[in-house]
Amino acid sequence: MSKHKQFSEQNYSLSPAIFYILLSLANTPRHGYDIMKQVEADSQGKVKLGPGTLYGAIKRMLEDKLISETDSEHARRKYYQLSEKGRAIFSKELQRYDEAVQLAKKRSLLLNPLNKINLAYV
Amino acid sequence: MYDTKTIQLPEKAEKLFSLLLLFYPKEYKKKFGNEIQILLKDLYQEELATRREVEIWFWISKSMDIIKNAFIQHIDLINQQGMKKYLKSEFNFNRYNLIGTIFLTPALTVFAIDLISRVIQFDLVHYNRPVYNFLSHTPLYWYPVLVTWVIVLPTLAVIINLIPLIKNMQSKKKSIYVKLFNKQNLFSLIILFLGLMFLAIIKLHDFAPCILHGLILKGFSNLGLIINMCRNA
Repeated sequence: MSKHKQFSEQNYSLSPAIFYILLSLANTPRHGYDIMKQVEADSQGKVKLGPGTLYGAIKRMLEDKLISETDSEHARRKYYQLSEKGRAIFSKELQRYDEAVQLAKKRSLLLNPLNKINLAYV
Repeated sequence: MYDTKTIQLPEKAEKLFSLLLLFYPKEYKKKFGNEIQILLKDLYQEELATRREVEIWFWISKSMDIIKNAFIQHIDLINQQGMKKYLKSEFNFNRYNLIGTIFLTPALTVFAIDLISRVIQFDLVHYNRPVYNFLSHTPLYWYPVLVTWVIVLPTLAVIINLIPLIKNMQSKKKSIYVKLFNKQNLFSLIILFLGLMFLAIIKLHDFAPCILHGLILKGFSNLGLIINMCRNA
């Protein structure tokens, strides 16, 4: 087992790349190219994974059992899906983000979309 | 889900991608190499479809990403296995390589000191007199010791490292080029090259720096002139 951070439900922190990969696998298994394009779409172009970066992340997630391989109709392509552990950790992360957003709203820290437009013309 | 079809890449592209995958550790390449190749083909197809041609930046960015991550995978493997097991499993660093490295260490050290001292004085042609005077008064320059680390040890290092190379020549691979120049022979080839280089330096220890100095000043186009000049110097 590698010495990098081990994910547990209590001790986790997802990098943007891993977060978006887990998001892309939330509803359906995907193969590498699919994951790459979905991540780019979901992050609106902010997270772009190269082939080396993507499979480095996939290897880490397989080692930490966040994802698993699944059967596919294509002999050469491997498909990946969220594991139970991956789903639990991802849900916790989403919950954490939600709590942070609720808190920010409560403190009026989030910019009103209208304010963003006004700022453009300042 | 995105519609992807694998297409046939140009031959040079296939070769480049196969070459890039060689940077990865063996186990990683075995597990993910095929998928990475398929992904590269998908990206190539996408680039062709959107831009009608594949620009040089596509190759550069993909190559850099793969090389960078290959480096990370090697570091990860060293952290998992430790350096000794990593060198043995990845590069077949065996006892012959270890002995060869030990035998070449004195020559390597003196060569490095000599080269650095010549660079510091901005003159590669002539040895650095203070450094030479210091070294020549150490036991390293007593005649029997000198002969040992200059001639005997590099010769032994070369001979010993021929053993794993000869063993690997008996592999089932067809091409002699592939049998010889592969990752498994990396350290043996490096030690062989260094050993032979040191043995050549015995004869060429002023000739070689003179050539290097001439190339830096006058460039490769004057190589013939430089060789003549250094031969007569």
